[in-house]
Amino acid sequence: MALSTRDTERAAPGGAALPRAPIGPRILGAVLLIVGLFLFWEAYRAADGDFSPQGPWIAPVVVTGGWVAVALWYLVKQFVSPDLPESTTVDRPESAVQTLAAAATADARADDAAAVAVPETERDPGVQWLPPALLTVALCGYLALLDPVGFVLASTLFFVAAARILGSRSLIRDVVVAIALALGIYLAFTHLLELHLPSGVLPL
Amino acid sequence: MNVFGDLLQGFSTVLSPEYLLYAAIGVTLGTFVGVLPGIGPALTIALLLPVTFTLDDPIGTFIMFAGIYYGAMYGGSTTSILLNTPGESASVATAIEGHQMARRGRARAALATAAIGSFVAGTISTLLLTLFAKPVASLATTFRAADYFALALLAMVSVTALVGRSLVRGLMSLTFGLFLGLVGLDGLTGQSRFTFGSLDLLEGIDIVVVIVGLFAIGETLYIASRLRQTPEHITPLDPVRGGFAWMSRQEWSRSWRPWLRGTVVGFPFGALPSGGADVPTFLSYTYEKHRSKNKGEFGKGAIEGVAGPEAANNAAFSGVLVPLLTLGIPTSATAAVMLASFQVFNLQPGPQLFEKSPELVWALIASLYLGNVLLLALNLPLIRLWVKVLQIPRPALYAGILVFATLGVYAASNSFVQVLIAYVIGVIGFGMRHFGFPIAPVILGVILGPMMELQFRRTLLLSNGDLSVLVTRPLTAVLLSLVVVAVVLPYLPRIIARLRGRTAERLAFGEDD
Repeated sequence: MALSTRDTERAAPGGAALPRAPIGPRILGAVLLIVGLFLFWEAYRAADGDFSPQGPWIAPVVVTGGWVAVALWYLVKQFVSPDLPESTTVDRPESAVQTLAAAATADARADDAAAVAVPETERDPGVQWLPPALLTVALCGYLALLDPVGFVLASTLFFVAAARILGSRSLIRDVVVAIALALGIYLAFTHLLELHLPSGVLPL
Repeated sequence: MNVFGDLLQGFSTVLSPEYLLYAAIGVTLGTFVGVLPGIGPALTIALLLPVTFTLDDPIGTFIMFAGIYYGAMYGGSTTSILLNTPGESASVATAIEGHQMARRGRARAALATAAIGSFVAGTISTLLLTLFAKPVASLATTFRAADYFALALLAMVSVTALVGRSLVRGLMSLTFGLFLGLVGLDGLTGQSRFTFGSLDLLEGIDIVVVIVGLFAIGETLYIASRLRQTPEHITPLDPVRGGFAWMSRQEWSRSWRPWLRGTVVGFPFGALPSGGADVPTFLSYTYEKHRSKNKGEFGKGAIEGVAGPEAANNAAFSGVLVPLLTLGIPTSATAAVMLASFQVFNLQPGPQLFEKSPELVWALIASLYLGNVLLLALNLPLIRLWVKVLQIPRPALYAGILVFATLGVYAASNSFVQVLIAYVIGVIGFGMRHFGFPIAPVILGVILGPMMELQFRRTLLLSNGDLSVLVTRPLTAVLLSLVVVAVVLPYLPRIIARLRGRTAERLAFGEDD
């Protein structure tokens, strides 16, 4: 029932034309498996034959071995019964209640209809990759500037940049807020709490 | 000294001006972050850890943290009702009916039944905590290393199996958390594990770094990837009908039973290792829906659907404190951070806590009664203020979160490398959110994994390497068999349905933050 609803939702003209089985989860599964194998090999090699249960290497071998197994399970699942794109959001209220209702009651069908009928406003208009990528770059820049330039200046610059990436269109307000926030934090931390923050070029 | 003597002692500690101030700061801050979508109590507490460490006052700190946890739940209901954006997953059930009520012009009644229900549930469940804490703690003194191993395993596995929609994803998250917990020096032998030759990784990956990465950075990146799909609309409050008449007579009479039932469901589920408040809120919602006389109103704004889950939500918090304080076992992400903050002060939650620091424990419990009163006074009359908080522009809010996240990790570790690790974990967290992997199992894996390994190895040292102690000791065997039950339980409806010749999805609940 839930799946068929999503199918129609996906086929609706407003939704992006997504491929039937998205390639993303398969790539993810493969990456997870490779990383898992690497970590397992790393643990196995470091253990050097010492697999005594009291020793320090049993846990790493078990955990990374479990990682490989779960990653393999996930990858296989993506080929056997691939996830539909919309089902990736965990916290959709209607689906969670719906599954619960479906499970908890014998007359599940009536409930399904009621639960699905609740809010159908959520639609996936496509995921943008540019803003998170830019934010990551901004974060790295922030970290790089923190020591040489100092906390106040770096935070001000970063705040304005991040707000813009996140869609803010009022530059002056952002700058004012950024300066107030950065200065406020800096003074509170260094003077009241006596924690160290990089002071940088400003004579504070 | 009996329980009430202890409690009175606690009250006499809390009612000093200094601790009253801590409690007030805690509940205000908690409500604030609860109202803001995207920041939860776990992140707030993680970011405050370095600050509280310099204050060097464990009692005040925990009074404040308890206030934050409670306040975030009160605040979360406001956001769910007015914005239909549940601040945390335990408020998802509230959002369904509460938002519909608000759209029908009954926002105040929905807010009132949530707040008063939270107060009733909070007070009753704190009373239960008061009564149960000490007996459970004394029972826990009989627990041995093997039992702790089994308990930690049970907490991890049941949260993973019950929270989220897919077991394989939950297990992947858990494995990732366990791996992060392994990085660094082995506590018993001093061997370095998964450090890849880096000196910065020797001390391991701190829980604060993981929480800030996943909840602050990962969440913000996720929001950034979905900027176009946030049609935010705050439902306006209906005009005041004068004085305390927030709810009509009929609404009162429809609310009080769900409050009590929600409490009854919430407290034990919080105390059991089942991931805190998510399971009981959905159970309460389903139950109210099926036994209500106004069944037809569900989905269109039935007050029972707000009253029950909100009560269950708050009652679960006091329940979560039972295993946290008496056994040192966290059953939700926020409880995991609170455990980490105990460790910052060199306190080990568990049976000894009641003997070694009774002042702290009872002050904390007394502060819960107080926090409930403060929150009731803070929420309803000041609702206009909290609506204003909802109007903070999102770009500035999330930019600020990133600044605080960076600051929090840097202040806690004094190391740029740790900040970078937090960023990397944040990017991973973004990927997890994108592909629908739950976050809570990672946190529990990081904090419970090392504990579990230590207890396992201690068990084997005591038994001279004999693994059979895990099944011959009755308590351990029972706990381990519960682990199996927890894994099978979500599939039970499907198995039964298949036997009866139809298909059903597995049991699933929202995710705790």
